[in-house]
Amino acid sequence: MEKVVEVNFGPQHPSTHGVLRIKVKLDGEIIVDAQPVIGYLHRNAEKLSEMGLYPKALIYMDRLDYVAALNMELGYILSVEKLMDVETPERAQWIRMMMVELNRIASHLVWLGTHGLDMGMLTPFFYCWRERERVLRIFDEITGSRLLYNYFSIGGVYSDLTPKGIDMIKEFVNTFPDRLEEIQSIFQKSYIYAKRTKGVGKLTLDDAIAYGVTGPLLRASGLKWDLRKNQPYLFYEKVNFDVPVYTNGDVYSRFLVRVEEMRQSTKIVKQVLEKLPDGDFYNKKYAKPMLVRMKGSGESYVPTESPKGEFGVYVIGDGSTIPYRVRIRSPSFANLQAVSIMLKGYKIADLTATVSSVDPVFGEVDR
Amino acid sequence: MNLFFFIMSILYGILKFLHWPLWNWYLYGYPAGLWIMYFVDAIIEVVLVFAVAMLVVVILVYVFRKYMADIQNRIGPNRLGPWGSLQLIADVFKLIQKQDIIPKNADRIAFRVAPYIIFTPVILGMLVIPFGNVSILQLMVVNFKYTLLFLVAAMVISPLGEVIGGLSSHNKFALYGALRSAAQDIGYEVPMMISVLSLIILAGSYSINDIVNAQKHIPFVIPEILGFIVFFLAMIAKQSIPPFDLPESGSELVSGFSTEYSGMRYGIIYMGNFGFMALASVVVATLYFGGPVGPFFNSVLWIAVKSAVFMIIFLLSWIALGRVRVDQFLNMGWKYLLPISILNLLISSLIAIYFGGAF
Amino acid sequence: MIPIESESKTKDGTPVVYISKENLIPFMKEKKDEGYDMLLMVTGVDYVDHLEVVYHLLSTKDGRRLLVKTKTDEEVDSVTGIWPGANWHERETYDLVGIRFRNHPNLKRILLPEGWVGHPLRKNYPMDKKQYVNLGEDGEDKVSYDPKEGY
Repeated sequence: MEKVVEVNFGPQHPSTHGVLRIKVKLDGEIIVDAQPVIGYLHRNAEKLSEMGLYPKALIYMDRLDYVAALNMELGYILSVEKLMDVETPERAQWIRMMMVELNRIASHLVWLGTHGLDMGMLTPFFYCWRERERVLRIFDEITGSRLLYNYFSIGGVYSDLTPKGIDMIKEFVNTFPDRLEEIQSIFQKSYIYAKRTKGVGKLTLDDAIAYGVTGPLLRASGLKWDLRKNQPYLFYEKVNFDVPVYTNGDVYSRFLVRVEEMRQSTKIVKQVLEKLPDGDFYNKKYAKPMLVRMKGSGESYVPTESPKGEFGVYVIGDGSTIPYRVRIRSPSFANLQAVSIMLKGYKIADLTATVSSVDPVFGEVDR
Repeated sequence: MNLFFFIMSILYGILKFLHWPLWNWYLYGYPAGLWIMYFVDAIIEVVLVFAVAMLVVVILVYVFRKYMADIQNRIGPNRLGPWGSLQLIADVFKLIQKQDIIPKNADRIAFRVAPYIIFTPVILGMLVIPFGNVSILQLMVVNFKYTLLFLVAAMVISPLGEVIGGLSSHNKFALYGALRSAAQDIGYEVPMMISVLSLIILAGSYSINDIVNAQKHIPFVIPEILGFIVFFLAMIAKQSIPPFDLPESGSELVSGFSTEYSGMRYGIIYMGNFGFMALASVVVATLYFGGPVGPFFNSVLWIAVKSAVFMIIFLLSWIALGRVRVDQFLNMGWKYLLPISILNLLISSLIAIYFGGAF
Repeated sequence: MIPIESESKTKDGTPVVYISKENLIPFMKEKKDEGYDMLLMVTGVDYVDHLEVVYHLLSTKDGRRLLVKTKTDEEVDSVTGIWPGANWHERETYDLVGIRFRNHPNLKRILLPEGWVGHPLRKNYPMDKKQYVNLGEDGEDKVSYDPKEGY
């Protein structure tokens, strides 16, 4: 008599964060084997990017990790700028840094809210959404759109900060840490939450490195590896922030890492507001009419620290106005691969906790 | 809530008065050939209890939505009727209109029956609760020697409905929900029974009426604090609301045993859950806080106030807490609740011996 | 010492090493011993006359990066034995570029449904031909060119 039951979690399931399907073999409540199946949101953004001019591929980058679209744009823009040897004015780089950090906060807030839902907590979701809404309003004011921004451009950004936008950011960074404290305490003071997450979904450091896991997961497993510190891009070496590291490698440490990262991001935004220099917000040489005639040759890959891990776009140019090959290194894709070893031997209830702790966003996994 | 209870109790008193002759026949035996009156009376009473339960459910759902929305920085229902109070009525009409879907390979009869089984204990349980007195009439539908046993037996039915619904759905998630429901049921039912047993020892009777009367001076929650904790946790588990909503566990098993239910069938399950919440709060208020008996005066008002407090506590638990894992719940049930309830039984036996018979 | 065919640098300054595909596995093993413990991604590039596989390596100890390139004709050895994380990346490269990896534990399509015709990231992939996907009787995806048989 076969004791193992095979269950499909997803692609339509309330806690798969999109369209993840996990083939789970269950012995009672215990997971014997779990294989993630992906590809339900595949659009082949790489091919689409190879079909248009360099600046046009940006809109596909927006649609990768749609909760942290600016981080995705940044990875592509940095690579392309390296490819074309474009110089970016300082002010533009500081603005980029600030916007990216704000977007990291928004992304982590989405994660925290949905993670709470996965653990059966209904209320923190709304608190997280309230805070995220404030970030989105800031983006709406500065970039003109709430989710898919198309804001960075080759050689700068599309629009300068508005005075109202700066006020909104100031108000946000001043009030956010307290509210984050409040949200964090809902989780941290809950005995049930701690019981559910401590020691669950363990990923050892060796496994994490072998599977190419990056981002908060790697830091929760005990390696102090943050590209903003280790291989700084933009002006990250000029600002002060800490990289939170925990060694347990379980869901609880990932929660702590992400919450602490939000706090550090707020700190970075504050410092950027102080240090923001005057000047152009885009390189006049590469104004819009010029952009379509920009030619790239050679290859480049600039790694950036997106909210999910190392994100970068490997661009090969053949000297024409169209990229020859675009390969997106999406962190969730690699992180999701490690889910099957994180799940073995745990219970069904831990499946949702573990999968949500990976924080996969399927626009980015399936591209 | 209080006003509502008050009005209902007056209506109920009027109805009882109209049936006064019948009531006499109850006591002194029915004349031959008038047995049909017995059934008419019974049906009227059950319908009345059903109406009361439904009204409580409607109010409870509204309060739940508004209260939850308030905690979560939302507005909640605000379109239909004053402050959105008619939203649930609209929802019910929507659910009735919906297509009735039964999965292809489901056990059709069991699948159809299950929601009603989940709703049954709400009515059965309400039958034996003493709501207090209006002049000389007691607001209690059925009164006999073993009402407490009847109440406990009635409350056991609802997990049965969950198991039947889950097993008949022909869906793996529903199957897992049913299995969890059964496992959870065993986990809390035994400690709950033992804590109820100590109540019987303390009151010296199986009748809820006697238990209520025994709490004239001190409510049972004081000598029975351990038993109360066990019973209260068991009540939360029985309603399967967070943190013990394992049979449904929205984010893990899609919707657990009710995965395949939609339309009005789901509506009945939903109403059953809220109805059971009302029943559970009334039962806790009756067994451990003296029900209608209270300081200053004995009235239906007291039970309304007490049960409203417990309803709010249940709602808070629903809103604020996360879900425990299955093994954690079973651990809690067998390793903590069971010994605690046995200890409680011991304590109450000692009290009963020391103070003699009735407490 | 494994012979290197040629060396260069990318625009952002990462060293690039070209290696013949026969020497790939021993070379990768050597690099892993040198401290390149993380494989970031595996990429295939279609240069029309030949295919190229690009491996992005990273050492988490000192932050060095290295690009390893191999020219190939549709088939190359799998590095899943060295970095288990290469599994999905190689499947994706097979899926989209059409490079087969020898000794791969589970070389199936990962993003596109099984039965898809062609590899989209090839330069000669016909972009005007639509393929329609539907669920077959056995629960697996079915692909056809007929719009009536899928969506």
